[in-house]
Amino acid sequence: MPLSFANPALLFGALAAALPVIIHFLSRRKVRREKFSDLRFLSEVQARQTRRLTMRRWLLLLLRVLAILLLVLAVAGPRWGGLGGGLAGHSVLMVIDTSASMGTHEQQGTRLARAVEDCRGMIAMLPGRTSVQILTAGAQVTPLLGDWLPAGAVPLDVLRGVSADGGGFDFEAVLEEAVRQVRSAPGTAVDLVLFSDLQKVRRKPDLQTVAARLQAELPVRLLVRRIGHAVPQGGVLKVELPARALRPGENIALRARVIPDAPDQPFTLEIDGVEVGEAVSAGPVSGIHALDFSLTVPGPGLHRGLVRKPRDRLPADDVRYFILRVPEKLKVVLVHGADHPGDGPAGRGGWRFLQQALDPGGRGAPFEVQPVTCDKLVTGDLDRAGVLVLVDPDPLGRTALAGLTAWVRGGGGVLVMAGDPTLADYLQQTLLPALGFPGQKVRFRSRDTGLAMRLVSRRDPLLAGFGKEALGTLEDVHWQRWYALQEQGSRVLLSLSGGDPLVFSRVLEAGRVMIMAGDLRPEAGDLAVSAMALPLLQRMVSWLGAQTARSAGDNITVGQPVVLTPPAGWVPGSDLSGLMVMLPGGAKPQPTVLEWNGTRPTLRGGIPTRPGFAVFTADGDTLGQVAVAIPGSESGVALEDPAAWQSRLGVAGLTVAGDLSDAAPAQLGSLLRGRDLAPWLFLLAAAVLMLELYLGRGATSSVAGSG
Amino acid sequence: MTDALLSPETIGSLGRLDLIARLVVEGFLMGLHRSPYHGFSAEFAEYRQYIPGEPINHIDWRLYAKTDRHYLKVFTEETNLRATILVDCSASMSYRSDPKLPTKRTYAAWLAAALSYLLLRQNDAVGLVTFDEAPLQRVPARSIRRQLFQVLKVLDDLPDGHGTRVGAVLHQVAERIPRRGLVILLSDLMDDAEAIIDGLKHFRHRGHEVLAFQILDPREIDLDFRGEVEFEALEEPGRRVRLEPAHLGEAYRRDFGSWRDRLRRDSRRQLVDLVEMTTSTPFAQGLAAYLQKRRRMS
Repeated sequence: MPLSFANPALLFGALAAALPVIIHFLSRRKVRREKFSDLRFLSEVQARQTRRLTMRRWLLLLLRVLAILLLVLAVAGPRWGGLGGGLAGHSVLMVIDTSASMGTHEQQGTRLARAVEDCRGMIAMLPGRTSVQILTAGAQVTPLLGDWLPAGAVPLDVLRGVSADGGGFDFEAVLEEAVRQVRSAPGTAVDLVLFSDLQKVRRKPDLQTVAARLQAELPVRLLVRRIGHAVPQGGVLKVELPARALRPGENIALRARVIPDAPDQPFTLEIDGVEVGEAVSAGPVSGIHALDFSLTVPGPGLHRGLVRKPRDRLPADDVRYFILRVPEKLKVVLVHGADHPGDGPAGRGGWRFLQQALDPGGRGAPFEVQPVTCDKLVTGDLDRAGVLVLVDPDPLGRTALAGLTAWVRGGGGVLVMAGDPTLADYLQQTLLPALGFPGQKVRFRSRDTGLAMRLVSRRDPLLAGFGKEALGTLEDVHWQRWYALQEQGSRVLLSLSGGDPLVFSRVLEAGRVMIMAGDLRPEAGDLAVSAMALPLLQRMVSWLGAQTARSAGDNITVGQPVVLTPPAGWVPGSDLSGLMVMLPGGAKPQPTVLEWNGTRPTLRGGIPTRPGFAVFTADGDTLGQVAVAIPGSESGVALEDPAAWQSRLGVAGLTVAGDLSDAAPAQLGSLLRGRDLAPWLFLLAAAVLMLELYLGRGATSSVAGSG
Repeated sequence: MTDALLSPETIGSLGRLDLIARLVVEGFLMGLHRSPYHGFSAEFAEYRQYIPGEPINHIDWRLYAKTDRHYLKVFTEETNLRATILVDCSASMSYRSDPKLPTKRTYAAWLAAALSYLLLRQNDAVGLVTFDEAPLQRVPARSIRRQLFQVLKVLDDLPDGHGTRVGAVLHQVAERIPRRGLVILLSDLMDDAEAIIDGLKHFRHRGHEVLAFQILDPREIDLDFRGEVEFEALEEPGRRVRLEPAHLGEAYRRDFGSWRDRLRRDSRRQLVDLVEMTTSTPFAQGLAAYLQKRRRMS
């Protein structure tokens, strides 16, 4: 409603408007009787002027009532068109976006500086009794005031220390904090005023849920003031590390997603502080470009890397940090079924061939393969393994299977090669459901031979780096089909002619699972004799070994908790003394603790608010490090339209009161509180009273004049 | 001071009409500091030697030119003026807005008594006619000493009349006064202005000099009442008008003023002296008006 009142309770004073009416009717009853000499003139005058006088009497009464009503309205603090804030019973929760993009320099300083200034001005313009709380929302959502304070008592110095961090703006997190703050908010409603550049971010699906929780506390109205304009600026959005375990010395292509802000802009790649590559963006400015850096994988260990671009309006996203993890050798536990007499020299399912393919011997071998039969598999083998390969396995014991499932969920990688049709029931009923393929039904088909292998996508990351000839060679491989598995939403890498998937994978929580509906026996197919057998198998196992919990925590974004998996061999439940973490931008190391989550130990540190590298130490020894980058969504020119933003929030059930974006800073207060009508109403009331006095005095003065 | 002594409030406390008449006239004459009897209503009798200190008004300067001596002209009184006083006794004359003030009728009676006393003291003949819608009582004009007693007796017991038809009554009275003389009308003239002027014209037609006193209560002029008032007509009991004088007063005063203006204007055309008085006006004003009129007649 455009009309609102600062003190609506005073509107009850409007009842006083009845007083003139009451007085009018009471006074009418007091009629004095007088004898008079001659009524001739009185009758004539009465006949001529009674109607006019009656009208004037009612007009006077109306003016008195109107004057009282106007005065009551004026005292009640009427405001027209106020969007919120300063209204009776309303508290104001101010949210300042301190995400990385708010550090963008524009004509009048950074966006954040403007937001802080606007916030300061708005507080100053609010009525002194309005309760105010201020949140900063970047890497973390933090209240600036200990509790809600009257606007007149807010120490504005708290805004001096507000600075943009490297985090993203998480509106759902803001609402979560708003729920907590609103619980203690005085009054009957809260106006949430957001100062933000509305940089486009990926929305979480639980916005509606959080919004409902917020509204359950108190009615909350949202106001948004978008700060900043979409100005061309570049940044490094993402560095895509190979989705597989790297081998020292191999040449890889490191891909970076960048936004150049100038034509032919150079981007540099540094590893361990040394510039090792450069790429130049081509094409239109301000679009997202993919740049490939050629890199020779350095020796085993954790390497600090970064991709850098020339400095622009937002320096925070001009450098993107990453950790390049190069394992010494990826441990592969090769679990196979017991050899049968007819299995030949390759063993059950061709496991010996696979062992040779993964570990051909020599110093450069990337894998260390440990073959073990199914009945000899123990959970201790899993703790030391990076990848587990099951080749036509015999049924595993219940304990081993449970351990295997937990290990995969915790970040392990499993490759199942199943070419033996006698295993169909075991696959269908036990092994595949345990590995995240529930309801998988093995369909038996007539035995087909000579089915060509098809590449579902030649751009699959797993095939990255293979040339056309290599890919053609892969498609020359033929297979013998005994049975078929269903794809069921998995990522299919290879299939057979006819469409049945041959190799497909799925992510199971932190781990990866890959299924191959075949094995390496010569009668199963001719992959074993293909020139691409060794590269393909190594790639498959590398891919499975790359996405483990160990490496998943190497690269995080600002605002995420730092999680580090300690080196293998640590005893579960053990503790470290003197564990410290040095966060990016931090002045000095902070103590942290070691936490054990089941069998996988993690080190948890503070939440970084700046991009860079976080380093863990214990008693002076470096345990590990983590690269912290700003969220990619903070780069670029994509600012969201306030109307669309409001529309989405409206759909989520939040009341959106208005858009303050186009208002001049000096108008923010009046926009919030609305136009103050009280002076006008006072003036109007005075005018009405003067008119009433004039009309009423007309009769009185004429009497006095004649006397 | 004389005005204060002759004010209606003071005179009213005397009670007896003869005392009122005497006090008013003697007080009035004292205030004039000269005899009202010389210069009118008298005929030349002889000359006498001027004594220094006497007024020089009646020195015969023509004789002085011939004789080089100062002689005063001595007049003998005459009684050839017949004055008839008409007193309105209608119900409207019984109005007074303040208990401290006399009613218009009482005021008219006091003024009539004073005028009678003054006239008789000049040896003029005085008659009296009271009326409301018609003539009520009549005392024929005479100049004998008992005449004052007769007049005061009637004035002391004026009846409560009914309505007013001043115009018609003037016509009737005009027909009954045989000799030319002075007609003094004491009334509020609450009647149609045209009818009143017609009546006065009748007197003038028959050769009378007319002196009309319009006697009003102050509130009849200013209608100074507060709040809502229901007025009841004195002449028409039961007839009421309810209004707020605070709001209608201005229009009333305008209408009332117009009516009086017309009376004033038309009277002047008929050579009728109209003296407007209120019941709070000192009697001296009325007597002075009479004397002025008398002087013009002589």
